[in-house]
Amino acid sequence: MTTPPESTRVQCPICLELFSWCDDELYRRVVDSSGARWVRADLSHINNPVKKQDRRARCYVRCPNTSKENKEHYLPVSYRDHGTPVVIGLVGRSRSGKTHLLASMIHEALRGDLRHHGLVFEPADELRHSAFQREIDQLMLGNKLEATEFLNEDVTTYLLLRSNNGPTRPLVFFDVAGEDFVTSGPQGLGGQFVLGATALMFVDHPAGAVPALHGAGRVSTNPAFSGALERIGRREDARDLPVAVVLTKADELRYEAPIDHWIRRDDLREPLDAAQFRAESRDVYAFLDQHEARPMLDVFERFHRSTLHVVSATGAEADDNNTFPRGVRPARVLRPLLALLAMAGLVAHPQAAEVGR
Amino acid sequence: MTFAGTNFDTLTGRDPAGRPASWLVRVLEPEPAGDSALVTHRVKTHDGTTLLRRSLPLTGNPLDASIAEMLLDNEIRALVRLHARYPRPVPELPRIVGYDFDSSTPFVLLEPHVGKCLDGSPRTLLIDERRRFMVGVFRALAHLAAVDLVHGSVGLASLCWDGATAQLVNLEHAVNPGEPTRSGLSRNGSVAHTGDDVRAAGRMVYELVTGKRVELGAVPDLTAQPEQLATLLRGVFAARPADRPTALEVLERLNDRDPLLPPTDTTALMRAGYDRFDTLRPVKATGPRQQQPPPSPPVRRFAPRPERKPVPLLPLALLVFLAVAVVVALVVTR
Repeated sequence: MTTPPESTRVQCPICLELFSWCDDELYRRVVDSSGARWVRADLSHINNPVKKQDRRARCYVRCPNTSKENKEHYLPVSYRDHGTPVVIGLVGRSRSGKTHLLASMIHEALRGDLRHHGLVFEPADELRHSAFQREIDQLMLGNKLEATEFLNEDVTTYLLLRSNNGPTRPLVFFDVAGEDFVTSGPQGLGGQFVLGATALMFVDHPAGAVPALHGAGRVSTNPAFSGALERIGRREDARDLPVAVVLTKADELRYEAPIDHWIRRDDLREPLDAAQFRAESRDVYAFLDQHEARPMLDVFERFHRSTLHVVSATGAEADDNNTFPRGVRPARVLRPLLALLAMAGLVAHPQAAEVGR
Repeated sequence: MTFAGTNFDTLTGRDPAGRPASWLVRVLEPEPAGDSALVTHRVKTHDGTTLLRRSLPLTGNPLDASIAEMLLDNEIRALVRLHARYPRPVPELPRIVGYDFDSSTPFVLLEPHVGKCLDGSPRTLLIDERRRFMVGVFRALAHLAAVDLVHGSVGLASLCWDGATAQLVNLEHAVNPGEPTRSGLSRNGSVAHTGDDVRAAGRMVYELVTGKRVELGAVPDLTAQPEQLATLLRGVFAARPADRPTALEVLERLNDRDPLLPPTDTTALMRAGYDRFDTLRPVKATGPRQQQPPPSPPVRRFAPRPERKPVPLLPLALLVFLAVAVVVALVVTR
């Protein structure tokens, strides 16, 4: 038996094992009266090439799951069609706002809000995205989302990024429960995506990051960051990972200088400007330093290319009924994503090379 | 929620420092608020204190509602900053008591304005009153500029007056210098500048003194006016905001000697963080265009001016007398 060429070998984002990509054997998800299951997809009887391409795009390839640590899992057939996928993961403690941030971010990205930067997104995994889209819809209706399931191994959503001036690239997003970074389960599967991620978003909220601000007299600690950083430290390329450090729920600080300036700034349509990313990072760094938010600063300092951001996924706090009474008004949720894509080399603009340096 | 057995409703929100707070209030009557898009009511708290509550107008139009929210947000932001930066109240500016911007009925609570708010129509002031009025307006602007705020809608409709103090109210258009105006009314891409406030105040002064109306954007002919007015308003209508005098300079022209309140310098608390960041990520000298992060707009920081003490007359007279006596004695002894 010969080893397949390296170009056909793929790292599974879920189990992180390398395997030979083979899309001769395709699968599709069937849901009927006997439940949901994966079945072999036979496209051989379709002779219309356009139709065949359409049907193929909805199929999946089974990961051989060689380590047998994870449950059986499948990847979209397009996973290998557009080069090496870009894996973006969110790291943060429980209730730090990761899920709300990702939902608002993907909502705006799919709406086309980054097209001024030549970036257009489309869902590429019908199954996973439809589940995530339901979350997005709930949030946009003004409902607070449930906490993320503990020890969820799967990808949250999978998109294709079509760049005006560059190749199309698959984008994989991971959002897991905050506890997974602290207690990663008997086999260490929880939050293990950090071992294979291309770029990371470290997320914390004011109550956790700057507890002293409103009189909660304790020092900020962040076991989720510590847990993730400890695992990332095993990677040779650890310090070169593009990282965005994000202060979520910044609507709670909307009247605190200098957060008040950045949270209101509407600059998504302006040309990419590394100096603006630096200016925001500088202000947020000084603010966090003033309030001794050491865990967020440590993350920022640890990586060669990193940015700091303030965002609000919802625009306000949910009320006692877990709803947002005046609707959801995200602010600046695409800036961290734009920074990561620029740092990962996916934004065709001369300034992109300077972002985060 | 109505408090059991009373006519008081509970308002839940935050105090100016951002801590959770609540108030028991009974709404009295609407309060005139000039051309403000927000609704103002006089309310009484359970301990008998009278306050003003500013809130969103009822509207079925989502765009109008969104603009009104933005205006209320602007006002809370400006008032919270004034509270944080000025340890003592600035008489020429309103004072916040509390706010809420998260619930379905957001609001800001204020201490009552001084005197009565002007209705926007030109008023005739006595000569003595005019100077005090003008000083009040420019003192308000100087205090705003010192904490990086542009009022954005200076005019008679945003002023209250009690015969001694002018108070500049309705901060719903207030933003930082350099920020786009967030009123929702202007989409021409212009950014706020403290010079725009000075111009608007100058226009108001001109109308007040001459009784002649100046159209928005028009430049009145100062050469045809008495020298005192022309000197006071010199440069105020310059095309470039940066070429206009500051509110402080106008106050000097008005010969206002009362010290302005010095704001707390909050950036000093962040200086160590800025320095550490600049060490970690120094600005690149070469490569693609890099610019220094936009600094806070230049604002004159003031220290309290020493009050001018009157020269004591008796010792002075004694000194003169002694000097003359010495001279006379010298002449006589020759």
